Amino acid sequence: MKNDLAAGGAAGQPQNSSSGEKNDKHTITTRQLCFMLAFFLPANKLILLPAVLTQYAENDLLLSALAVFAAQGVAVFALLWLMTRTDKTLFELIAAKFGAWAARIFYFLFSLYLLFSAVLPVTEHRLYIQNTMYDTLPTILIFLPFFFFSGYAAAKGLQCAGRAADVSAPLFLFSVPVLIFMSVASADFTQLLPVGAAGTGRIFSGAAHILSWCSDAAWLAVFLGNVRTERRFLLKTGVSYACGAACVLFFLAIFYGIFSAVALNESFAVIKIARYYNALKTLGRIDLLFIYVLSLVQLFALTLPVQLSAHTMGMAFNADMPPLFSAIVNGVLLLVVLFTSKSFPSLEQTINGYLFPVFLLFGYALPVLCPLLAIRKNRRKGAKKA
Amino acid sequence: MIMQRPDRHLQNNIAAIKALLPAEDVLVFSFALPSGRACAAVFTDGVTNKELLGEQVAKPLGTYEGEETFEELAKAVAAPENKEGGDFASLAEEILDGNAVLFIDGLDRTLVIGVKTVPARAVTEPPTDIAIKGPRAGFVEDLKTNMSLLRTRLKTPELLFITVKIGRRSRTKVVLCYLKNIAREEVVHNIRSRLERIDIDGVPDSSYVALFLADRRHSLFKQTGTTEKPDILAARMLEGRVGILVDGSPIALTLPYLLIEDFQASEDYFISPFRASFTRFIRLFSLILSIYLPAFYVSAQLFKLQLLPLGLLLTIASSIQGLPLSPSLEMFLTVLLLEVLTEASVRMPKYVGMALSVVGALVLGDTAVNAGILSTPAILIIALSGICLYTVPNLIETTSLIRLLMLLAAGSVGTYGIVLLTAFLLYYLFASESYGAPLLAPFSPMIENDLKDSFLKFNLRALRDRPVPLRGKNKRRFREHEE
Amino acid sequence: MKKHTFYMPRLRGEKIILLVVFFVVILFFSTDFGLIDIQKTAIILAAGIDRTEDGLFSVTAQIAVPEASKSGGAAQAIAVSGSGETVARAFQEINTKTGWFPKLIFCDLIVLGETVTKNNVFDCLGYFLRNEQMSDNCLLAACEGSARDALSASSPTEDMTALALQKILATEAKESGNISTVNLKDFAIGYFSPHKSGYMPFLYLLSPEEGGAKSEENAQSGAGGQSAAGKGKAERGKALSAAAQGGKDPSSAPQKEEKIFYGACTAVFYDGKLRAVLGQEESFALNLAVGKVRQATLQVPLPDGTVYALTLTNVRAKTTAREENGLPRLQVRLKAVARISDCTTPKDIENIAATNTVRQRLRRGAETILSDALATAFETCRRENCDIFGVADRMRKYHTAFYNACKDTLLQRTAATFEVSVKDSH
Repeated sequence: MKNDLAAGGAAGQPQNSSSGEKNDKHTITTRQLCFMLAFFLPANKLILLPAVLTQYAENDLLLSALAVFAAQGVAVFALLWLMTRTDKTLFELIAAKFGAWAARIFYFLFSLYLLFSAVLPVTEHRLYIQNTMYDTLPTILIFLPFFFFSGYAAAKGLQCAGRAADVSAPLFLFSVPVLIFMSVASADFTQLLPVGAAGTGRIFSGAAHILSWCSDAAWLAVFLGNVRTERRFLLKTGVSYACGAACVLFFLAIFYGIFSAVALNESFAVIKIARYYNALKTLGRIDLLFIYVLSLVQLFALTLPVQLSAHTMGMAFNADMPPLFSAIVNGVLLLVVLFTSKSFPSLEQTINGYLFPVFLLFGYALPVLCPLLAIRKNRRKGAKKA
Repeated sequence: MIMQRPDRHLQNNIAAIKALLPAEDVLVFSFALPSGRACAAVFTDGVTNKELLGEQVAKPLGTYEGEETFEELAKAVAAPENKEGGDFASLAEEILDGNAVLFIDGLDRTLVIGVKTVPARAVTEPPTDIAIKGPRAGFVEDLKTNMSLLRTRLKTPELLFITVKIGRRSRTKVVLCYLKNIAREEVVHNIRSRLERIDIDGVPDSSYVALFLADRRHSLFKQTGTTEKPDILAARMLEGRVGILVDGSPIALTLPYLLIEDFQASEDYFISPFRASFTRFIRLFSLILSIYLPAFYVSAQLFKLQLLPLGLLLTIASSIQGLPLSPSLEMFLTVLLLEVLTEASVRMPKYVGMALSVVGALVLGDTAVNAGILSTPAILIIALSGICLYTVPNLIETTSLIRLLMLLAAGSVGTYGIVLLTAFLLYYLFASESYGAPLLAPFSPMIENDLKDSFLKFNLRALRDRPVPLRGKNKRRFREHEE
Repeated sequence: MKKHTFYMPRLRGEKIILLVVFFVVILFFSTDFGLIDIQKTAIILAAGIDRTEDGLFSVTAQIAVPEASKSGGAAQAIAVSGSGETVARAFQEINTKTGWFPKLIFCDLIVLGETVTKNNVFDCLGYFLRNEQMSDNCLLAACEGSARDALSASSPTEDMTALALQKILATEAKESGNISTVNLKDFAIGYFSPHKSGYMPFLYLLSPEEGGAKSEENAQSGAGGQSAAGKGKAERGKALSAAAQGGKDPSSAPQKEEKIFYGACTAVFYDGKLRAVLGQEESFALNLAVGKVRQATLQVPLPDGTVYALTLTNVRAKTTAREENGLPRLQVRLKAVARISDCTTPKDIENIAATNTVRQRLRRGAETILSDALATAFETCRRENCDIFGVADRMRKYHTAFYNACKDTLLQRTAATFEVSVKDSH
């Protein structure tokens, strides 16, 4: 462990960058990035995504998910590769190429996108906690303290997100394997057969409808230049991404294996899969304790785009006022949640059904194009040398 | 005109020092050399050892027949700890500190003689940090004794002490002790500068100093480590921490502080690593139980009955039938009652404390249940939580507060409140650092090397490297030699 | 890059904590969170559903009522009924009658009365499927007569009828092959699958004296099963149904009569309607073939009049469906290891000691009984279009093209073979 403190922790360690933005508050380690990819990535895909995917792709939900993860993998890999080639942030790369104002405009748009990408997960989270943690439908007031937490977290540097990833690792590994252990015996994996029965159209339709959940490459872009790369960086992060994706795929397989024909009706997948475990009849719903542990990871993962949105907004306005931007971002989110509290299906349908090109643009196309910023710069350098 | 420095007239000097120290316990012991030259030793009654003063100063000078220069007279004084005094202000400080100041008529130089004596208690086992196996000596209130206790454990020239006087009126000696190269220089420098910046009336205890050394002024969590045992302080200094001893306090402070250190008992290092790991997990489990059990009990009753198995739910439901209080208020009241009992039993004299325990546990608890004010499960839950809390005694202040917060969160927002507050506290800890060391290290940021001495306690031979957030230039505890 | 700095009061963690604590304390002491605490909650342990003559749903909820006790633990159950056009309305009526808010989180059993199973049972089960708070892991059973009578009866085995029924229908019972235990989720999967078939245990409500006779009757009925629920039991069913029409509140509930529940028969459903009730032997064979049976007991009569009881262990069943000569073929292979556990004729001590030696005659007898029972069960189900062996499901998964070509007539064209192999443990 060479750089635990320098990147993950201690203040006062000088960084080798001249940029004012790139200080310890925003630097994470390779390990923390790996944990984000392996544990943050799947955490919030275990709630509504399985049922939504089943609605379109039926028993071929794995194919849809696989297609999305493969496409997202390309975007993720492009950014990871770029991290090994440059220690500049995306802001600096754009500023170097197109000028500071262009970078600021882009970052403002990017912060809006990150805020937009947080809308569905946050409203989904509200429904999820209502179903997981309450017997009767509680008042919406119950959900409001979330914004205290989110507001606090978003005002902290990216370093805190990295540290949250560190803590998420044991929490995730303590909860998800236990839930999977409790549920895997109830799953009949032959329900996934016959492969391809849903047809290509439905498989791709399913894939399109889960883009909002699977646009993680976008937040990875903000970490560009803020990660301390180490040996075998690409291998480590690549394997972590694969693990995160594999976890989701395995969960989807178990989910469909358990519910098959009624999977469409099982909206909050993660709280339901373990309840057929025999021991629960005598012990009570101990699976809920593991679900609550997992919800900590889900909270951390949920606040990440909010945090990044506040961060990028700060960069766009070139002002070091995290609490202000955190308050703005969370205020907007709060309003959205309040206004959509009774119309989640329409919101979900609008975002997943009509606005998915936004996710395609920011979560897929832009990350894939990012390496061009570095490549062209290198060529110019080469030309200068010549 | 006020004199700044002593002059050649003894009476003037005595008058000047008495003007500075008019207190009745500042005494003047006058005697004369065989030649008839008058001398006077000014000292504080009770703090200066008068017997030593007579034996080591008055007696040799009373029979002295050599040359009467300052140097020769100083040599004649038999005390081992002598130095020349400065201006009146510093002389007054020395006198208050317990030393005697010798004025000699005709000389404008003074001699400070170390004949201090402090009524100190013996080195005994402290009430906290009790170990069944391992050293039992504890710090006392006397700084010198504490320094000597530390020195006997670290006989190395690398052990350095830096003394800073704090307190405009108390002038308390605060000693910063560290091992050169093992502690981080910037941490030592930072602590020293903070100590020097402290401007306060007096320092009755080390906890005053701790408040000034905290990175966060209003932190929910502890900011400095504490110990009452020299072996623990030595062990922590060997890890790279800096110790702070305060005159008059038996509690030493250690910095930087990591949350994990309160889970590490000194005994863990003297027993099998398996047993040590097990007990550390027990501590963690107990702490979690003590914080979350009352909260989940309330949350289950109010918001999520499914958290309880049916049989237990029916048992609880039949116990709470007809209670006038809601589950949350019942639990809140019970927690408050426990806190009151704890507070009262700590403050009460021992023999009254026994009676109080009987009143609290038997009379109040049983009567409350019989009167239908509280339910049996609530009392059981709080009793269990209360016991579990004491498995990590150094964190009691924080954990009991967090338990109350959790209870409030559970009673108002339910399980989500518990989850949210936990996430919030975790984030709060992520953002907390103690002199550059993250409070949650080695978990966040995760430090593989230091995980070997976290909740899992590896064999001593596996703990070759000092903890990453603490260590300075010297990184290794030991080197393996081929056998 | 130069930074703009504006005046911004620092929102430190401590201030946020204070804000949160303030918010939480207000909520805490307001004690108004829209919640329903334990004392205002009806903890429903089981729900029985019937249809009235007007076509309304009559829901009987067995509610656990904790009794005030300092030591806790004391609870009794009462059955409360409500009716309405929907199950939800019926529960609402229960709420109105009792003042307790009905919570289904502990409802682990749904009993469907005879009047409900005549129509599509998902007319009422849909409510439970929609309910996010209720676990679809709850057990399902159809019963002879009315579900209200079943839940109002008192059982000699448990204080609460619901718990007695849950014991009978528990997973452990399924593992012995005696009960065709099924939960709501699995039954719903069957219904919403292309084959629309499913099964659940069929309960008879008997007086303790009737219990033994019923067991005998079913053991002997063997072949043929019984088509349509309640045939042969109609009279008793009617009597019980009549009793169920009585009061709908606890005070007017009929006098509790001690009853035992007999659940060895299996009701098979197609398209949500009860089509047939399989007898004990068919149900037993079905359970061996489709369930995870650990240890079961089978009675084998020999021509000399001696009846042996064999304990079957290591039960392994393999069901395959494939296309053969243009026809679907179902093959069920059942393997088990047997040892003798009892015999009606007294034997000498050597014979008793040799429990592991099961003679071939006895093994063949067991194989014949099981394969005949499987064949009968299959035929009964095929007649009613119930695909409880999962032919369609298997063909769809592994022979999709063939399935698509003949899915409408698949079950009718299926040729079935049942191979049972019973070995002794040597």
